[in-house]
Amino acid sequence: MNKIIFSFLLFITSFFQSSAQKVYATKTGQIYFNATGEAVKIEAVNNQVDSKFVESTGQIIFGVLVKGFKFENQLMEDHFNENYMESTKFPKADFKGFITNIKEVNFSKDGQYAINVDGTLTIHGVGNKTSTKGTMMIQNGVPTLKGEFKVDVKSFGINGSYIGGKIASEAILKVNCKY
Amino acid sequence: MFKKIIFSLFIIGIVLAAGVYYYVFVYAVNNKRQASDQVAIVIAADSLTAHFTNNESLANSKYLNKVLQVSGVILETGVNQEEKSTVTLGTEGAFSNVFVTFKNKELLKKGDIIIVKGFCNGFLSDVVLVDGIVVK
Repeated sequence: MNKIIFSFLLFITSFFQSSAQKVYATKTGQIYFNATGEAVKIEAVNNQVDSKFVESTGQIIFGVLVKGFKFENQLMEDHFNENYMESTKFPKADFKGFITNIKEVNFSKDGQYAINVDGTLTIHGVGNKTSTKGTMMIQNGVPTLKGEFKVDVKSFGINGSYIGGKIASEAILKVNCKY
Repeated sequence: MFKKIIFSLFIIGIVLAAGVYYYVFVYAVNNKRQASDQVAIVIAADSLTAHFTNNESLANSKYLNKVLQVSGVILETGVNQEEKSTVTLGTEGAFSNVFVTFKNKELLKKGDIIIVKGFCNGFLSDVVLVDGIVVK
């Protein structure tokens, strides 16, 4: 009798476990920023990307603090914060959207899966609809997401005399998040 | 005489250009701001988190980009994708805490009380401090 009750309970718990919404999260994702224009390298990295996604629906969010972008050159970092991103006024940037083909990712099988992402990217207080392609790598059940956003700097209300010259008018954001 | 003036101006021009180049491309790369060089605002991890959760914009105006010296209990230790150490300081079970990324790898233990110094970048799900160094 006890065995039957035990098996029944085991069945119930496994049922609830499998139906629970699985959320993957990290606070140490990476985003590389590159806006190299004519000659000088303009690159930075942010190692405190806060990101979450839901396995069943593909809903995904990335959040970053603009001051967390670290440049090799302190002066460049100061210009980036003060003159372009105005990071005191707009301290955060985020992306909210969906991995539209999440069903094609088999989280229990190691491998690399192509993903499509759709959503709204908000930088400098301006939100723009965007979509991109990326990859989801599964290794021992741990997903790593890689993707790239091309950002038309001016469409986010970021102005500066060097944009289009020394600074590329289209910046690249490379995402690399291990959950 | 005229030649001398032209020559001197030319030399001054070169020295100025070299100076600007040095400041922008060499000095600014080798002299990044360090938390250790600056006077810090001293605060406990829990009160820092409370300031940000109560009024984020006011807390931003007070702490953003400033060096903070934060004390608290280590709830979690980890390493980021660049192999630098991270800790979460605060209260177990709290909705938000203080998340610190260190400049280097540090040997830290869950449950210890530590004092760290770092730059405040703002607030996501936790208050974020970067380029941290262990004070005690």
